[in-house]
Amino acid sequence: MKYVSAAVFCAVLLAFVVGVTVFPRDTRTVENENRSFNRLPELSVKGVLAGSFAEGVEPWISDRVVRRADFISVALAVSNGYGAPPPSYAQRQPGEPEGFGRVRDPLLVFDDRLMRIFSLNSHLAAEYVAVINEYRAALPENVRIFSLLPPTQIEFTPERYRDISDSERDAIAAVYKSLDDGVIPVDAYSEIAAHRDEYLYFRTDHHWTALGAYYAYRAFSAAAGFEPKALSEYEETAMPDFLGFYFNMEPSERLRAQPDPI
Amino acid sequence: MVFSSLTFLCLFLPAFLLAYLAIPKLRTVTLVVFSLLFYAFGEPVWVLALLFSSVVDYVNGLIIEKFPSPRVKKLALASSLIINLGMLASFKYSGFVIENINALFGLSIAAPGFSLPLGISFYTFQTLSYTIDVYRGEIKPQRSFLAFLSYVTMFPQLVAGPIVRYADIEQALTRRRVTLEGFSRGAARFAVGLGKKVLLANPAGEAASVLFAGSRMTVLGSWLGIVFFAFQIYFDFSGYSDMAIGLGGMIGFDFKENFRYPYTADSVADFWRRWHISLTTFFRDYVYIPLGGNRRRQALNLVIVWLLTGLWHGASWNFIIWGGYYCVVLLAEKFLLKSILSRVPGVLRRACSLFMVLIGWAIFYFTDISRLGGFFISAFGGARLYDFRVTSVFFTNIFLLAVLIIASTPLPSRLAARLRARFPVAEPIGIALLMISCFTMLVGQTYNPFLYFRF
Repeated sequence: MKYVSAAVFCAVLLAFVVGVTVFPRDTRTVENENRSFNRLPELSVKGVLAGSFAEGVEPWISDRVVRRADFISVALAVSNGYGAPPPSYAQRQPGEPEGFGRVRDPLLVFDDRLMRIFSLNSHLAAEYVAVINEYRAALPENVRIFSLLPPTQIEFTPERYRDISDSERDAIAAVYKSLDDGVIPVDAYSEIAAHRDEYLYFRTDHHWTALGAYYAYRAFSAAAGFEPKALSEYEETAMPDFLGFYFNMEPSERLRAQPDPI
Repeated sequence: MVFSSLTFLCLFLPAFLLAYLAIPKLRTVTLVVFSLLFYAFGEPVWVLALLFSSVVDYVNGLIIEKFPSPRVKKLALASSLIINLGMLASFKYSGFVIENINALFGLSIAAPGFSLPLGISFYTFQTLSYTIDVYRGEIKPQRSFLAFLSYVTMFPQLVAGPIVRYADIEQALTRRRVTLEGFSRGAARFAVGLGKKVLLANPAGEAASVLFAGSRMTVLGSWLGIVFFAFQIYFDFSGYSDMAIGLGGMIGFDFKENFRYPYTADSVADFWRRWHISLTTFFRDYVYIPLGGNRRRQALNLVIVWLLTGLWHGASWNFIIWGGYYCVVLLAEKFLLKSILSRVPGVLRRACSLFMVLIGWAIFYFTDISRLGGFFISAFGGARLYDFRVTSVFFTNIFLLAVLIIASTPLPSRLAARLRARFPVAEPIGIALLMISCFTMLVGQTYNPFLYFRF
């Protein structure tokens, strides 16, 4: 049997060599990862001594793997197989996210949607307030300045998921409080919260849907003092098969099969 | 280059084995050439430091033997010590020393921006052990520079150990036999090591980093994080040693074991007889015993050895604290707790030892002292019990955790041996399965989408 073990090991190595040299590259890499194939860096004395040549070898080889996208899918499926849903998952109501919520910073990953975990950056918030207040001070009174900070999808997930995320509601309130009196804050939060069960956010992107934007528009119209157009007055068109920004970070076959319509 | 990469598995290793096995007469040359390529791949400039250290100790070894005068011998030994330790100190500790001098005296001397050459902590110790052993008359120096170079640079153990003693492989350097038996066993060992690294250590490490990435620590999150880290570092390091031993076995070298199921240890002293054995024996043979060992000033000797052990692991205060921590624990075990420990049941002893080891890993993990402090505060009650991050990581890795625990014991190894005895074909199948699944996971890790914001 030692013959077989040695032979199998060598055969596997041979398969590896063949797998990265003989076959054409997997074009799905370009489509799925939104980039061109990694090229082998130029072999120059400078490049070798700086280490940049060596660094480029691994990405180049990995792009040469035959049927690379399939290996990546299998690897992802295996990674997801290391665990099982927590008991609290049994309490899931319809409409709530499916799957048990993996934390893959900066995202919270469900089987049917992806969202970003909110982490308050006080520094950035202070800068935002400072800039807006500057504008208020510089512009004449008759120019109205509004600030509209909408919540993102994570605010409306079930309570049990939210203790890892800072409260956007509190953050928005704190920012609005620091704004100059002459700046008009828009409470988009309440309007969106009232319609939380509707299709307001994309499943795989950081943008809201047109419907989500509409409710924020309603909130804005209330703050600005004009009558909003009714939803029925708008023409509806749809572009199917949208896979958004977060999908690139955390792809899955399940999500790929359930794209959003825009 | 690392063993767990596509470059190594798909290009380097096949090319090396082909050249090595096909041309038996040139084996040592092949080994040296490929090893230098392997090293230069990651360290194109400081491969010169490696060569320099080798030349220095090759020459010193010959000088010590050739000249009968004890003064000359001492001089040769001293020059080896100064040059090797000097190199190590300059590359590894100069930044740390200068930072501390600045902090202490309020100066701002510019710290030299050396990046640490790969494996320097290992190969300087290895060449030092050679020179010291020649000085002590325990070995005869190697006359062939090529053979000596192969001892220092051979790629299986160059970058991450084990620290191989010259006496252990002296024969094999010039007269080794590559056998089918050795090759198959080495191949199986390599596959197991690769599996430990890619299938166990990597996901354990990811789990630990997710737990420590949150802006808020929790009690359970802190502990679970350190548990995953403890598994990561064990499977990473022992996996790497397995691969080194496996590769060595494939090419005719018999390296000693570096790990012996450390998490089944009975006491902290026992843990250290099972963890990174080649390092602890190095410090024992070349520092502890020369200082007097347990015959005089034992406590002081232990303090020196442990502070050095801590320092060897990294140029940062937390590593020194780590060494000091173990020194205190070991002294306590030896002198204060001996009688208590012998009366406590084995399970409790093991649990206590593991607990002490986990605390040690926490000190090891946090190079930033303020974060280390934060860890201890949250771990011992200064935070909420848990949050969804902990729940998520725990449950999404619950099967992994079970496997990690079981794989830290001799159980899988015994089961594999029994399986192999009844169904010999299990070994080649196991090798193939391990290699192919590791390959798959390695490809998966290369997923690299280009992300850009589109507004």
